[in-house]
Amino acid sequence: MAITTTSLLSAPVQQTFSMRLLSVPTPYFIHKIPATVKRLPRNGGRTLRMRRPIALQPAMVPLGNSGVTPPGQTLQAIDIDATPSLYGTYVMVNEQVTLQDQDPVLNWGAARLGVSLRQTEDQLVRDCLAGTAAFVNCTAGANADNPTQLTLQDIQAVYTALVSANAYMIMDHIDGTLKFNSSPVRDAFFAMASSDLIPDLEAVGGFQPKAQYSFPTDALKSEWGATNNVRWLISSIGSAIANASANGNTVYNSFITGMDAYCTVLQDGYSAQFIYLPAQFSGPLALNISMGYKFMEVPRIQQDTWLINLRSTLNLG
Amino acid sequence: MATGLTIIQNGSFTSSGNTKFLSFPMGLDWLWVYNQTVQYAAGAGTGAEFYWDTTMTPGRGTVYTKTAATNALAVTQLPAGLGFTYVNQTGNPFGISNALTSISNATPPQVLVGSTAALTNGMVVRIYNTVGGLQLGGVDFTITVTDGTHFALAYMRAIVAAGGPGTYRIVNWQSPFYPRNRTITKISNAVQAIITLSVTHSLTVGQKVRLVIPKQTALAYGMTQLNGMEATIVATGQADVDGVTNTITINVDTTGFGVFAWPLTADFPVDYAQVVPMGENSAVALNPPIPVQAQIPVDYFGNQLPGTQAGYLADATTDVAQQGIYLAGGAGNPGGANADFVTWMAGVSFSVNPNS
Repeated sequence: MAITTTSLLSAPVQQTFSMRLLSVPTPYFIHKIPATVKRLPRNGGRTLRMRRPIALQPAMVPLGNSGVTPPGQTLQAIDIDATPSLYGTYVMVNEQVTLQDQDPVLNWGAARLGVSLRQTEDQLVRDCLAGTAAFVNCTAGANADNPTQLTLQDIQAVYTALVSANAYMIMDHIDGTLKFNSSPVRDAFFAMASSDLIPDLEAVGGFQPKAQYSFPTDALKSEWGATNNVRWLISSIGSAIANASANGNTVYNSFITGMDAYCTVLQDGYSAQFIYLPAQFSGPLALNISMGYKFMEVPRIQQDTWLINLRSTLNLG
Repeated sequence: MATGLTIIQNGSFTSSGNTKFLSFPMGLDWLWVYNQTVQYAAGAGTGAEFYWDTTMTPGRGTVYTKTAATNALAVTQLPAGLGFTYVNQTGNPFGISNALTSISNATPPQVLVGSTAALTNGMVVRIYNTVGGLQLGGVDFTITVTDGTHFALAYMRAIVAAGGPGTYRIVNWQSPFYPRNRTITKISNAVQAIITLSVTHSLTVGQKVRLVIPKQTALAYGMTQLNGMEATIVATGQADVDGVTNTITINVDTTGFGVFAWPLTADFPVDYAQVVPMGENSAVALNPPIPVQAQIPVDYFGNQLPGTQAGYLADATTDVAQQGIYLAGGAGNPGGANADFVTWMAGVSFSVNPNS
């Protein structure tokens, strides 16, 4: 008996396109969160010069009654310089695509460019901190690598050094409250780290997951939890250097920072430009459309003792 | 290439005999290199023209060598490591893992390997998984090639010999942001201490640095009085006790301090002594002490790092990452022998090849 089946449907009616694009895997951009934003003014040269006065010594010796004027001190300062670089990328789309495709290609292309811009900014900060900040190797772990895995002892050494360097914490404490299985959260520095470190982080003694904060809504979206005076921001694009440890394993850089430790310097009027050029600009035949972004920026550590890169490997045991 | 455009560039350089880097921010699909000195000179047996495109194995390429009888060009493939290496300074900077046999107790330490053909002076390597010498693991070192089977950790102090095998990887590029944190190999006890660094440092007179000298053992790193101290660089390139000139001289008197010492293999795992760039002491930068030295951030070969400032702004943090191609140096290689005049032509083409 002849049966008509769906196999006889013509190709154009065998599918329906969903009208919503699927979400694109997009990492948390954590590295600019603690950064101060500064601007290099237009027509102001290539470099922003920041100056920090050096503290004067306390005057601990009594002046006495001799009337003799003691020697004074000299005002001194350190200059911190930053030269922005230009970054950008673009996509070029043939006009026939926009003419014939039922998909709004330019719309979602613009959305992807926006994410690309912000991810570039974030990764620039990450790479700057990885290359220029002072680092401390985790050495208290037992995974027989150098650096070892994260331990509370290593984390304590870092936030102790930050406090001793008079770094201010970024986050105020969170008060305790009458909720089961919650506890207050200390004043805290921020740590920015790779999501690969989650198991090791949760194994650190005293780790407090975000859900156990007395007010979890006070946490950031990218926040994973706290270890004593450090609150951890986690991202899949956290700093990780493959083949970098003594045993050839990936080294993870966790940047633990206080307030005002680093900045990003933007070229005024050039911090983020979206550039759309219709096909008329592509040549005599107006064949291609382009859209892209460019920006000028540079990250800079302002006070080197207020940010420490805590390097670790994974506990593979 | 991604652009879908056609771009052609050309240029020239006089070879120093070392590996030459050509920067191509636009990317690159193909490259011709012409060694004019070889082309026009009498004689034979030397590479005169070279070609690379994106289909080729990293480190290799095509060479056209002058033949003896007719000066005709004979084509062949460049040996591994002696051709073209395209780099886009993002992602993992480490090359493939290579075996090493041992590390000597010489000054500087000599690393015994199967062959040094793919290595050149000024390269940076990282050592791993050695038997003995564990304190070197995970640290970057600038190298010089000693002979066909040895390279030296050029700026390193002597260690207790590592008799057993291990591995190393070439570090194809450093952190993209200048000025960089550097690992200390030696510090002198002197009125103005001389600090030797494991990798070519590019720092300049007038820059301020902070010294990080962790206490690892009773002996290492010894000079803990310097830990956390700020210092101004008053000279660069002064020879240390071993004659190494990858040094900075600071305005700190270390004559009464403990003796700087590296940890031993038994002290593993260890932390490292570092020089951390802070900023600029403009008073020193504007009035540098005698002898006056050029305040230009330079690489191993003396070339200024791209995008960096000179003089009292030489401390400015900037991104020095590049996209481009390395031409292996030396006679018969695309980078040429010392004083060879080399021209090149490079292009980005329409993509009609899936390998592009």
